[in-house]
Amino acid sequence: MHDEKLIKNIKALIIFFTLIFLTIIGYLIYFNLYLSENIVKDPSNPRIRLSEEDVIRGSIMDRNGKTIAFSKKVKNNQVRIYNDGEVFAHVVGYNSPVYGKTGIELLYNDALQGNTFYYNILGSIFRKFVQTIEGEKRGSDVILTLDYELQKKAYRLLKDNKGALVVLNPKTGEILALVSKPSFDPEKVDKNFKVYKNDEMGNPFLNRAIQGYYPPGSTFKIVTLSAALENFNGIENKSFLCTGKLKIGDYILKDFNSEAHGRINLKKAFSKSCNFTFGSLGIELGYNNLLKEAEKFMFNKEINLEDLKLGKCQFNIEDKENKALLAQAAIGQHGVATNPLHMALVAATIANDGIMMKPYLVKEIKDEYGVVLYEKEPEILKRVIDKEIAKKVKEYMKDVVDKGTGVRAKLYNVDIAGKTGTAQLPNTDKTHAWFVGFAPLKDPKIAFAIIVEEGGTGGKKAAEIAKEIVKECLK
Amino acid sequence: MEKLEKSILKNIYFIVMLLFLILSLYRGSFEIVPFVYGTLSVILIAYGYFVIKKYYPRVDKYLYIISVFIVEFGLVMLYRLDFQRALKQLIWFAIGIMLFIFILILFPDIKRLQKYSMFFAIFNLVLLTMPLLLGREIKGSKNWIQVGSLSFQPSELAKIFMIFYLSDVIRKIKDYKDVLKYSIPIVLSIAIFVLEKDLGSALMFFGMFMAMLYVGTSRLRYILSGLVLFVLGGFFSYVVFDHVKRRINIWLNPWKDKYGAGYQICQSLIAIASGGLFGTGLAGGHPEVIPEVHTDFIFSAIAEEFGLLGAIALLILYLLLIYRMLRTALYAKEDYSRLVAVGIASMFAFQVFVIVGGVTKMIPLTGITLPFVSYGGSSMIINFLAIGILQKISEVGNEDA
Repeated sequence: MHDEKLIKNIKALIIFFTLIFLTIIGYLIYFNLYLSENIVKDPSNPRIRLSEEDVIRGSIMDRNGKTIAFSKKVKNNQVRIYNDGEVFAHVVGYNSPVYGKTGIELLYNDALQGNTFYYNILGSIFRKFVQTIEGEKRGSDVILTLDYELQKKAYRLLKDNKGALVVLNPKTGEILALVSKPSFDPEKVDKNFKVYKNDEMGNPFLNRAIQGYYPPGSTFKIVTLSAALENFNGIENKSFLCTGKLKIGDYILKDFNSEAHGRINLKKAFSKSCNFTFGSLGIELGYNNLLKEAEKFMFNKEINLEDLKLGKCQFNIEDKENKALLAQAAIGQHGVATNPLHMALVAATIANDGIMMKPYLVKEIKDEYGVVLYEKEPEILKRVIDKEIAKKVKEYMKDVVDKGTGVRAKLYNVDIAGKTGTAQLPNTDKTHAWFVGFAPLKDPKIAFAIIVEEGGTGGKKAAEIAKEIVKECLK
Repeated sequence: MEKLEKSILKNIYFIVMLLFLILSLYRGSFEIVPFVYGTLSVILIAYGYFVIKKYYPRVDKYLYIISVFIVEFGLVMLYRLDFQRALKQLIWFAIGIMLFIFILILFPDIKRLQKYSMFFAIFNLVLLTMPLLLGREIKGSKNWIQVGSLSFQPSELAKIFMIFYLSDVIRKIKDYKDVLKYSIPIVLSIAIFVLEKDLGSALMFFGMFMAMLYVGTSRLRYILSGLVLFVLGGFFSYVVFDHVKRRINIWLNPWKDKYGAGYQICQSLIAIASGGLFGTGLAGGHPEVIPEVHTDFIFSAIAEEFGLLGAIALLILYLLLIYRMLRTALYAKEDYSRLVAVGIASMFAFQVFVIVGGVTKMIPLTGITLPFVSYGGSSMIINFLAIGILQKISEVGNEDA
């Protein structure tokens, strides 16, 4: 037989097999580069759960180090324990092997599990070393900006009402309290998930503070006021004649109880929350100016936050030429919708001389030995309005609490600035009560927004809650 | 030469001991058992090398060195996954090395086997039909026979017989009629595999046959006809056999039924993906959650813990081994031995391709062992038998050198 050919064929076979193996290697590389990322995340991957069982999950704490959530071993099983679970539920979220994770438990899962991307090189090496010796792994702790006591107080103040409350530091954006009611117990999610899920009236899983979608009512007049101060010179000296009913074509925009305020200036109109004045200001400003101002305050804009998933807030009228709709928009009724955190940001912007700080919830991440792996620096989200305008709006807002609609929030030892809102709901007589503001006036420490669903007028329940919040914060 | 071999071996010992040291330490305290196990496996390798070097200095020692390194990959992984099986595997490894040495001592020159080719063909078929009559279904394939507590996979031995048969008859092929005549035993074997639901072996036999046919006849026409027939046969099987159809459908979209029929392959893919470039580290991952991880899916476990780099390293080791086998074929003295070497090399190449391609979803998954690595006695012994035969060929081939 032809020996030479055989030799040649064997050499060809060597090349053929080499190509086959290179194909496999090429495919493996392709698999690793392009397919593996999604495959690892598939819920059928048991490693996600297994790796969590190996590591004692880190704790979640308030700004002063008070524990909100922690894990401990009970007979080889890890149990997650939540202190005042219902109070912190919407911020902290739940951690269920069946229903997954939400809130901080979800967003900071990597840190809590210790397989974190926040590296402190020396600290990490040290930690790995000690863990290897001890044979027990523990995740990192997440320290929130929340104030345990304030949060608890806020939760209690909302009583059995549906509603939400946000308190933040206007100078840094730290969220000090964020409550939504009704709430749920994160420890009982496994047991009660269906009950919570099916409660369509209360909808306890909904975080109203950030995912709620409410008309801002008269609290939106802060925006209209800034627009007027920016656009019209000498507007503060002008006077308006309020008849209690503003006729626009066939439509009549009424003041609360059709009360006529008579001849008033801008400051008094704001203080008394005069719909007549602000409705006509809206028409005078025109759609574009009002839209521009609203968008400065982040209406229609997406606010991307690391720690929270903020719902949308909009300013949008279907018919831009329609003056009746424009007047309603100017008083926060028609085509305007927002959430309490966003309204707290609006108040905080005024408090912080026109600069909107980026709100955040996670202050620090520390490993179990107290080595700081991550520390949040305050960030400016946006420069919204001039300092001068902000200063004027501050004065106006002080007047609201001193002698206007927000007088129930008044405290004798602290100057509080605020704005009430009474958001009308379509097809009912019921109204949502709003109160937004900040304190103290001179050197604001807190800004806040409160909404009580079906809570009547903003000057009552909401303002009273605001007063208690300020008392708690500044005591 | 000898210096290089020794330095390679020393490095292998070092790596193996390091890996078993990790297994000794990873639970937090030092355990002596993995260390002893590793030492035993290294002593086995050294003993085998010593015998070859001393009594058969002319054989290609790299065949042995690469093979045992691949075996160690498997031992480390098995130890980490399942101690009981690792212990048995070490015994199989020892038996394999003994067998390998016996072949060197006792086996006649390979070319003397040439005249028994008909016997090989018949015995091959007998072996393959045995499980159909006596066997029981294990893991969805009816290709096992059980004697007492030992189960045995006849297809493993059958492939060696088939290689001996083909090496003889392929040289007699002159035209298409001859191809048809001489391929009857192998076509029957493949048909039996399909009936036994052992599609991996069917694929491997076919690949091996094509490779040998091409090398022996230099006719691409035969190969092309073979491929056409294979495609037709494959299509026919897809239509007729439910189990073939199921395999193909799982391959096309395993995620659709990831908790059911696609569970194995999905878990395998997740494991490989979890490894990333560098792997989770030995004992750092969770390959134990993959079903059948110690046999069919051991490659996925290696890819998870040793990463893409480890998986590529293993594939390159296989490629080197196959290269060394074909090199033996090149240096063989006569054509019969040459074709036997080609057959064994192709067997390894296609076996690795079928199973690695299968667990990575490159091709449909068909259960088959990863040579030298998967847990299993039949496979380990037959692979060492194959290496022994190649050593024998290389010994004769290097006689003048």
